Amino acid sequence: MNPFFSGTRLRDMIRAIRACKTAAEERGVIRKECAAIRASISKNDQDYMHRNLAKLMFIHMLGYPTHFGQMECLKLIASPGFPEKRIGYLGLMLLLDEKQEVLMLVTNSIKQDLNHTNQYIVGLALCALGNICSAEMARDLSPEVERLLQFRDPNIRKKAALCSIRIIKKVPDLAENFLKPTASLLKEKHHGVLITGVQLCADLCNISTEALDYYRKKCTDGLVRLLKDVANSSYVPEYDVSGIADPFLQIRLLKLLRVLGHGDADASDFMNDILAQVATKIETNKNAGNAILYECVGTIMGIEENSGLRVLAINILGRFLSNRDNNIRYVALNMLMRAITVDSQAVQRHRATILACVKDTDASIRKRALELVYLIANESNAQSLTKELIDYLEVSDLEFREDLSANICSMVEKFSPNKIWYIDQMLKVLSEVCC
Amino acid sequence: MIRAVIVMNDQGKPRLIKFYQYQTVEKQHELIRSIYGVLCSRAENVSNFIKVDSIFGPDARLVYKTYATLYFVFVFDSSENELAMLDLMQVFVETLDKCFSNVCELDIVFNFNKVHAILDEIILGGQVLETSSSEVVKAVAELSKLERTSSSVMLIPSIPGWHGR
Repeated sequence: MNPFFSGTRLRDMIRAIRACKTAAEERGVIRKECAAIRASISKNDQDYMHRNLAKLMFIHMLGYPTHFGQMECLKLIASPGFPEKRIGYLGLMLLLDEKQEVLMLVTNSIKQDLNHTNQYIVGLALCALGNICSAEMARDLSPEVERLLQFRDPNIRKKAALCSIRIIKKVPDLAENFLKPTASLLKEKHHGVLITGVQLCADLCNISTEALDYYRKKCTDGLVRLLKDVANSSYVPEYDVSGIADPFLQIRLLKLLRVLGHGDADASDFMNDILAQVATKIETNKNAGNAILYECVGTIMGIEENSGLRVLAINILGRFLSNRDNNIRYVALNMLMRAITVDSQAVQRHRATILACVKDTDASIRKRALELVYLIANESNAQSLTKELIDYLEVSDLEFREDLSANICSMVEKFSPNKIWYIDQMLKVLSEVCC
Repeated sequence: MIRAVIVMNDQGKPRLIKFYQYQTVEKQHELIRSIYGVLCSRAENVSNFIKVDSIFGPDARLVYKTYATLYFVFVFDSSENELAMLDLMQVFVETLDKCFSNVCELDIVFNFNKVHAILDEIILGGQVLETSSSEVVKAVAELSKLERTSSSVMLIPSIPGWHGR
């Protein structure tokens, strides 16, 4: 082996790999590199640790085994320098397999870094913890993360909030420790802290009923006000997406309100006004506006019944079905499928538009629409739906015919009023499909 | 929750792989191959969403977008808003564009570390961390500055600007 091989720079290695003409050639280059890296590791070559790990991450991305680099990550994380720590943490997140020993060894380093005086190192440690934390680590490091929820810099607070989500998912018993600190995150002004705090709050509610009761009582009021403020706020260029004020935060808030309103009539009542406002006032010529509207519809369906709002919501979905953007039609069909269990009458009113979607140019939309047609079919409309679909069978794409005819057949079978009609329809399908 | 962020080129070569739920390397590449298979066979002018239950298990959705020679792919579950994921992907691409001034495939190949750093400022543990690309650019710039100015042996705590914003 070339004794100077460990001297190739990352860039040179990438170039060499890119220059390979065949997979075998690539394997050859990588085998050589890996051998050099292993040799360098076994010599405990401090100067090349950083470069070795960067190379291993690239090799990992190409799908080759790199487990022998895991201990290098730990060494780099434990070293005092920022560049070393940074690449070490990056490597840890990418190369780690779920071996407990490695996680156990790294726990102490992470603990030290969570208490580091340099806040960027604290940030690195939080990021790694949020990505790879195990149940054991969650128990060990939870107090540090709880403390960091009150750190002076908001950029650390927002990372700590997301880290907390991972912790409570790994160890739900720890949820109660986060109740109060999370409530104070919801009162902040900083955007990143709010968006992560709202998410943490929603996850706490999903995990513990105690948390759900707590936030329902203490925070519904404030969250409704917050959504009102954001929805009515004037232009804030930082968080504005195509003219809509902070759609990401609005969506997170709507999601949390859905959790709080579900199964609680009082809380639901309390948010009706703002939901109606969002549903009627939002600009819908851009994706961001429609994203909010779509979330708002989901929340209206998810909270306790208010029939006026529900009709409004399903009408919005009906409007979505004739939107020119394929994505909007696609999500509307998804949501209508869920809406059927809530209010099938209201969905029935959009039968014509749904049928039109069966004839859409986009195959995935056709497929969804067909599933939905099957769901809205009943004794009274089956005959007209069948006729529509059979007429379309004549002109439909070849690859769609299989799904379409299967659907027609099961509909005919399920709802046929008499044998003659049944045989008639089946014959029609057969004659369309066979010729 | 976001389950994975993947960038690959139109030949199916992965350029960035980030899974937020643990998968073995073999499994990762198997998943990427299946995704590539689906993306290749997509017609033009269709929606950006694909149901991927068969690849990623129940409840999984996928949103993708092509930028020049690259496919950007987000995989997530039903707790995320599909349309918002599309906007988040735009935030990611815009940030890359700002950091590399007109990002192209080669930038991502040779600077995959930096791309990871950028992604880590937008998504943490599968949750949305930051949605303003200028905030992300600021955070990444501060990391790079710290990386350049700190000698690799010791950190000097008095680096200008690290006291926060």
